[in-house]
Amino acid sequence: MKPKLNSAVSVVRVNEKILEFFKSNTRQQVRIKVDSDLILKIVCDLDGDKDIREIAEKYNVSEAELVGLFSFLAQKGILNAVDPAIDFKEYEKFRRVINFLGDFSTSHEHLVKMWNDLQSACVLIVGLGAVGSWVACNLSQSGIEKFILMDPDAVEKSNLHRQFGYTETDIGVKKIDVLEKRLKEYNPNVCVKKSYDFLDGEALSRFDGDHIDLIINCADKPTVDMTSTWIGEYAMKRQIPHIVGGGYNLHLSLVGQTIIPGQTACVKCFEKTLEEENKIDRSRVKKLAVKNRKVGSFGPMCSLIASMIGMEAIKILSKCCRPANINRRGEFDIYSMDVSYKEYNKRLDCDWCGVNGLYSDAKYPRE
Amino acid sequence: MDKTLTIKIKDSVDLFLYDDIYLTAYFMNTRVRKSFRVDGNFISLIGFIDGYATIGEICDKMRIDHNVEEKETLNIIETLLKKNIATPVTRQQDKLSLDEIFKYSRQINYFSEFLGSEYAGITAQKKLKDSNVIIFGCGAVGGNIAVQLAMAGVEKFTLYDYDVVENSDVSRHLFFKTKHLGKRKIDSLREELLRINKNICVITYSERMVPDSNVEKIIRKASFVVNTMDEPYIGYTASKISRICVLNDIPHFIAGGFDAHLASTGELIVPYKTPCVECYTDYFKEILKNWKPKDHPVKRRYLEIGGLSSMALFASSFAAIEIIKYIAGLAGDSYEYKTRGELLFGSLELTYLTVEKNPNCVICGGRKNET
Repeated sequence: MKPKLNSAVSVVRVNEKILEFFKSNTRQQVRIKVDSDLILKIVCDLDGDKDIREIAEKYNVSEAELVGLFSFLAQKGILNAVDPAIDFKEYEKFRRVINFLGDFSTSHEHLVKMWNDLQSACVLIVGLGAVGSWVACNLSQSGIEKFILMDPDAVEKSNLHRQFGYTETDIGVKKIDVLEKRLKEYNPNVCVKKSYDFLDGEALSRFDGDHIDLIINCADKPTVDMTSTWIGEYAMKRQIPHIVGGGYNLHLSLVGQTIIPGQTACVKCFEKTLEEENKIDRSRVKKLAVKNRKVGSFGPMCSLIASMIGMEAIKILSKCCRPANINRRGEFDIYSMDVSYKEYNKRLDCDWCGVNGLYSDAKYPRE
Repeated sequence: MDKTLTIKIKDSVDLFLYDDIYLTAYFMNTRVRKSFRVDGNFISLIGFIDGYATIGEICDKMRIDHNVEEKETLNIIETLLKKNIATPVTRQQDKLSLDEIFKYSRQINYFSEFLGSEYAGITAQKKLKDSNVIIFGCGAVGGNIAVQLAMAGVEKFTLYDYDVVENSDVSRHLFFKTKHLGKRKIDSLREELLRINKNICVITYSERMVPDSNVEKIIRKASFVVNTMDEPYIGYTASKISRICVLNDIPHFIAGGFDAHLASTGELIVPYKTPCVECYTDYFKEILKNWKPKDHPVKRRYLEIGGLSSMALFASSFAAIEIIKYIAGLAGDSYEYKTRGELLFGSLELTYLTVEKNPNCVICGGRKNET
């Protein structure tokens, strides 16, 4: 073993007693107490060319002490966990993703596993519109190769300003077919299972035989509430993590929640709490239909939400860290340019995941 | 009232009926609710407002189907307009063609909601079309910004970069295609922009920025400048470009580059109004004076830096929102643009630095922008 400092780590001597390791990919800091500059000197010499014996001789310390130091640094993701790079499938192409994940690794084997889990995952994306098209591309750019895509629509001219991957020459062509081609342009290994069906309560059962690691709901027809319910229930039944993509209320845009069956608040928990908050008596109120309504929408807003979904997906699939949007959802406001989150807790009285719920035994990871 | 006007219910308004007699209009933009008592005629009339019928036609339908007099119908319409629930539809084509209005209809709608009228939304779209944007550095963030601005309707671009597309760019560049490996980024990006909109006009410079590069000539032709060029390093290019932009009063956006590029939002700079790059430099000099990273031991370190398409997409989306807000005039003159922020991958929390315009700045100090 030739220890090497992680390339994305900056070493800073805060004062005589404190040494800081700053991981620039993820902006995490690790600080340690030191009683001399010896550790600093050793760390700043970890160029990956010397083995432990050589380092021990050069700095006149025992190999055992060095082993202790290096195992601590490795645990914290401060040492390079990539070498030998040959252990990673397609290292050259995806070296940036692998090195990013390196910030979270505790050892070379751990990093290899994170990458394998990510690359071999299968993701179902329902709805390839303003959010789904960006998310699909994003994930194939991060190395994911297996997709199940579901969308009945063909590309329309008025989609082009906000939905990625479609252009004027694609108008009238099914979105899935256009996007499949685009995903393969990022990575020829991508393979897509396609479903041109409308989402309804039954449509997802056709995937019963498929291994799925994550479902992302970017479908808003007939309504976001209904698609969330169908997808949420299917995912609870099969114990699959899922992300509610979010829709938007004009400049305030919704960042949907991430759900881990059995661990976090589920779609029904959110629904129940929201209903209580809004105190809507559905028997007394009806929504008036407005004809030819086209609510405004804005491409960069959609892609910003999609980028956050992409990050949550990476966390779930690689298991590098816990997703952030569990038990909460957010809103991004283009005036304040800020995201604010509101928390929703898992409910004991939930019809799905509560004590007496239909899916009270949902567990993740599956057994 | 002009009876030839076409009206529609504002797209941002949800209408609810309580107990069949109370109408509640919910304004999504402002989260305001307005409730008032209505009768059956009122409800019927809402059914006739479809964004195509003129006020005169609506009056006729109300008379024929519901036996309601014109005066009563006009009264209701006036109430809807006064309460900002309904709005006139614009059919003017002096700014954009019908085809363009259709293509960008959802975005024009989005703009209109902030600017008041549909015509103002079309005017905002036209401002995007007429803008001339230079992108220095066509990598992850710069390339993405170009793609996103093109999708939004910008039609004039100048691209400045000398680099070629390599395999690992897949995980950062939206415009990446395996078949473009080895091709110059400016050419690959140009192809992507033309695919998005064949009317786009692209000028390219395959150049590396060096101390004697004369970029002022190019910058002066632009209405907006984006810098994401990290060679020789972002601090150098940003300082050089911002200096020229400030002197020529050209708004610019600085993003990407250096160590922090993965999480940084970048910042919009409006000369003499927001802090300029020099103000930022002074700010960082002060707050980072005790933060001095040691030299990194790994020689080919740049080959092992992380990157993630979703992080690049966040940064570019953020930039595109700010740039479009500025160019299309969505925010108004008194709006204060954000100073640099940072998104944390782990927590998805966004935090901002408080950087102020330095009154003694050697570049932008001593003058205020009169707006």
